[in-house]
Amino acid sequence: MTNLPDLNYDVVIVGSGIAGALMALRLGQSPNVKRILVLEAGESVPPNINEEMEQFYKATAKVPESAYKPELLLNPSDPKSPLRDPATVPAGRPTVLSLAGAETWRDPKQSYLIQTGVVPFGSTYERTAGGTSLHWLGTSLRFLPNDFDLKVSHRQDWPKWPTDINYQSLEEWYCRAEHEIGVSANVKDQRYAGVEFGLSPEFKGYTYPMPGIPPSLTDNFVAGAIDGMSIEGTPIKVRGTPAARNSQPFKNRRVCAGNTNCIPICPIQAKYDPTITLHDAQATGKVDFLYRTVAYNIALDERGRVSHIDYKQYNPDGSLGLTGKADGKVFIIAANAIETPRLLLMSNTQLSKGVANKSGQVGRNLMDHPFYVIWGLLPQATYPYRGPLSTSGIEDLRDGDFRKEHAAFRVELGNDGWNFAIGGDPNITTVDFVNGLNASRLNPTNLTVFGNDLVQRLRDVLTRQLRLGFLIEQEPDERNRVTLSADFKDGLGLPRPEVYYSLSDYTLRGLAKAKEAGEAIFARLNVKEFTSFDESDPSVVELPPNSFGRQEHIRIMGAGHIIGTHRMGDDPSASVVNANQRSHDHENLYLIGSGSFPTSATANPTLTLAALTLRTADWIAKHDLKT
Amino acid sequence: VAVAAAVASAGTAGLFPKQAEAQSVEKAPEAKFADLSALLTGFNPLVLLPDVDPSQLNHEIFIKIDGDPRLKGTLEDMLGRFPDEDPKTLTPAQLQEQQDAQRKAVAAMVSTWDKNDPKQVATCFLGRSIILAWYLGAWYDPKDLEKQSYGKPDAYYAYRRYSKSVLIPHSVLSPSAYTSSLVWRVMQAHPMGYSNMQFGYWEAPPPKPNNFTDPIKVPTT
Repeated sequence: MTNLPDLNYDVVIVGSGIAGALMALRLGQSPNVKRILVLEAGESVPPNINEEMEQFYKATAKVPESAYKPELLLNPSDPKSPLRDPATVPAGRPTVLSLAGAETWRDPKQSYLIQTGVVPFGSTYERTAGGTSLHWLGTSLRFLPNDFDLKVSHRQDWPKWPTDINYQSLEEWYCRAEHEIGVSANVKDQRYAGVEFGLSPEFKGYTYPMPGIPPSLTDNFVAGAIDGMSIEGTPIKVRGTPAARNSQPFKNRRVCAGNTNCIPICPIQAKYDPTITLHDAQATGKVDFLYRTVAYNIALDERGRVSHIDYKQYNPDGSLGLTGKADGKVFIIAANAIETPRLLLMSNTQLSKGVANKSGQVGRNLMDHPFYVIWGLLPQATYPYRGPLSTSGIEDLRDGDFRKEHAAFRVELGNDGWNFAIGGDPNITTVDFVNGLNASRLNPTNLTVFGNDLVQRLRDVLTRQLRLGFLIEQEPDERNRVTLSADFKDGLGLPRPEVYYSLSDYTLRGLAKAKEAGEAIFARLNVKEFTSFDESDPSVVELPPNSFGRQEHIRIMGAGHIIGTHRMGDDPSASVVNANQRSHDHENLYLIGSGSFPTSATANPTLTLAALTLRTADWIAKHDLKT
Repeated sequence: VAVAAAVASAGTAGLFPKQAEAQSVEKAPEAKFADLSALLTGFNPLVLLPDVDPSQLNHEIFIKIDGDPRLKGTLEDMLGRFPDEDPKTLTPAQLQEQQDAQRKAVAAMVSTWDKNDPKQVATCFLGRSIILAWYLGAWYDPKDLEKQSYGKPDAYYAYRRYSKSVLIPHSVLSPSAYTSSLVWRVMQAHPMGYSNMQFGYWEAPPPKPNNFTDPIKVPTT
């Protein structure tokens, strides 16, 4: 379908990522809903996965975006090709490749986001059917009870979650989300820091839909060395990570075969991705999709309700297609925490501050989990590059009295050697030893080896590689903000998102503690650390003095977790949506996704945004669309 | 088709002792290329070019070079340095001697380069390109490798992830070249995104290295 039939839809959803897909599915399953329209800025789900796998195999830089459309490079077959100029791409997106070093992150010819901040906003996203959760890791941690209760966790001056949203009230929705997307974990491993399961009568005696994923050799080695050690007086241990990755056949999908490729793409769809939910939504018979369709204006009627959404379409060759409007009763924006505020702010012909923005909070409090990555060589081989990219973590530092002083964090154990850490191993180390270079820093004497020596040398280092990642809770800061660029437009002539991003002292103190924790863990493991960065890297930040009075620099990365920008709250003057993710200003407009989170906590956001989406879908079906 | 047939028949003779009977026919260039590649990569030629070769990586790398007028002559020169000799006619001592000589010859080719000897430079970096093509399924042009060998600035560190100014330009030969590349075997793993293993395998140590690097043993009658 390339044009919109003249139908009156009950529901119009902008975006087909995990939030939009779950919303379409649940509303499609409701007897109260007759017709749903989904507007997707990018391409449709490909007929099969082979095209994406081939694109991934062929990509020289296997970054998260490398498997998806549109292609990042102007000429993918030319190894020296520049990135496509975002001004020429109808529905552009950020890419890790435009964050590579000082030369690109502020170049509007290479970076879709117009970055004006102190440090680059390091997370990227997809604009294609299925959205960014096409290339998520699958980590499905719940928030902790104290993440919602800032009084207990000593952050009284932070923006509050709505009274109706707390661990107790959200628990049943976590259960539903875990069963919808298919999470593998064992309840007994996941009871910590106040997390309990099956609090509602419906889920009494709760179990995850599938048992936990087995730990890797690396997990077991690290656990053997560090379980029971203390960080800041808190005992830590290695714990299996709940993951939306099949440990048994589930919903007609295969069991994980350990392709070590959750990001960018699971070749067998053992990892959940939103195309699965899109198929289920389509199977309800109520959902229509328009692809290559970019919403650019939310129109209001005289009562302040949304009347329709204006959109532009483009053709497969990128040329401008039809324009049109989508009518409906209820409108749901699920375009991610950068594109959703962009759409609200672009909708400024009737309200100069943009739609849903009486509070002035739209676009503010942009957050991520600043991601501090360390890497080194273990004293013995634990055989990374096998199994899912990560199977375990350290969760004990996600909550504690220390939250008075500094940000909490979780630790992710990688099964990917240095692949992510240095941007493409085993290639980089291999080139080093063949061509006498030292990009990996594993070849300081610039040896050139071949034959059996090469086999032995590569085996020795590549089987001992370890990396840990620390995901830090970021303090909300209204200066961190998405606005519209006055100067730069995309291929459809729409203003591109401008992003200002920085880290508060509280967040930086958390990073400093993460660095200390990393040093202690590596020392216990007898790991030789190779973590390093280039001072000219724009993502280098200066830490506050640590316990020993040292003031150090570290390099952070994005975790891919785009949070904030349309936060929920009880107070319409200080928040954008209410506990049901409904706009305080417009009663038939919902903004869903991790943009609704007032605070980021330390859990990867997908499961919580899925739970909130299911809760909101239930509310819409029961209240807005009851027949 | 003609090339494949020649490769199949020629695969039985060469620099390494093989199980099948030796024939005193001139080896096809692609078979000689597999033998040279074996010396460069440290893998058995029967792994690089088995009698039935679904990966076609040997063919792919060979035609990449043979079809490039800048490189064809250098490759012919390299192949010419290793004349066919039937190992069956050699005593064990002679065989050892032959292998040592071959290793030394390869070391002279790829371990060092002499700026004043353009021919040697061409040989050295083509040799390295061949190793990388096998290990990574990607083509690093000899000229680009050569450029990166002179005066490496401190900035040439991979921690400037994906920065165009520090990465050597290269391209993946093909999806199948990526999934057939050797480095994953060296570390007893599988190409990322291409596993033929089963759920939970990551909890147990991998099979021994030679399961990944040696040819599959076929019983001889």
